[in-house]
Amino acid sequence: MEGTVTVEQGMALNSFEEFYNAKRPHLVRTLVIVLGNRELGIEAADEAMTRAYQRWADVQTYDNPGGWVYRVAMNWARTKLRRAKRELPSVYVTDKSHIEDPQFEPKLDAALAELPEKYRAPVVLRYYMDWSMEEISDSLGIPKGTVKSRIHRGVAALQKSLGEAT
Amino acid sequence: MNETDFEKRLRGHLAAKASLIEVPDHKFVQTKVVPFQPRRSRFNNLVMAAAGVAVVAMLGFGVLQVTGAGSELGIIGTKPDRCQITIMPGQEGYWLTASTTKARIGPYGADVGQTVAVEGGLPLVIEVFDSPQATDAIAENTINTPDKDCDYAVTVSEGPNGFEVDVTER
Repeated sequence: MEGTVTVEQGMALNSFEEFYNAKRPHLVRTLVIVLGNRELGIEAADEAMTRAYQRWADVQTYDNPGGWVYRVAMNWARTKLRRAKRELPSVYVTDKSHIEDPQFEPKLDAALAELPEKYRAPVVLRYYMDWSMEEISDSLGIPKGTVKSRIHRGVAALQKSLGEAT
Repeated sequence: MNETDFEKRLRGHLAAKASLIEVPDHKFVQTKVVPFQPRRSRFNNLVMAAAGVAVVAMLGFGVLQVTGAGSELGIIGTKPDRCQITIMPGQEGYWLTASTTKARIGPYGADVGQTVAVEGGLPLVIEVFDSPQATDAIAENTINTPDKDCDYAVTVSEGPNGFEVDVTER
């Protein structure tokens, strides 16, 4: 019947919906931290999710669809910032006055904000998203060795900022 | 791989920081497609027969994306810093997703108030499940997002090049 969707399309959509519901919250939070801007992070995530939907037949076959979406989101955000002739803003620093979670470290948060994006992104993908080196390499489009060195340098820079360099 | 104490602290910090970031709830809402029933609307006093009316009532957004049964009809973008509505084909009809995205999507960008031809597609009437605004919206032939900052009237009708979607700020 005209106006209906085939079973295959419906199954693909169910798959996309599951992906959307499972991945979107982490994607948004990762982008907000890496980009340093809440609105931009949310916007980038939604743009990337829409593009994932439009190409879902292919994207769902990737080893790490979430990595693809992250890359698309970051590319979209960079393009938007470039058009706006702005640099990536410093990382989103939360109002810390009411934070009670003992794991939240204000000094570490400030150090993370000062970390260049090329180090901050792999650090966040590794220690927040818990992605493997291969997944980070794939999503950032850089060799695995580069990922390792950037994470190592990023962590070292954070320790140095806190006066804890070994 | 064994992690250092600092790496564990970093992991804990990022988890704590992430938990402070509120993620807006942008859900997919399933809608259904009902057979086309020609009717005249107050928006169609001229020759053009109404081919369909997309009716959506919920959340708020900046881009309207209308897609056909498995094939994309087109994407209607409203102004930046506006609201967004996305309609996509679903298992039993169409999916509607909504977000507070400020960007435009797709090749058929249009400003509020513009009428845009959307190529291809089928005559459709889209209704919204479980929406208290649906009945009123259907009666008004509009898409009406309840957020006062994202409040649009949208009509979808058949034009010479396919669908025409009219987005009007209310």
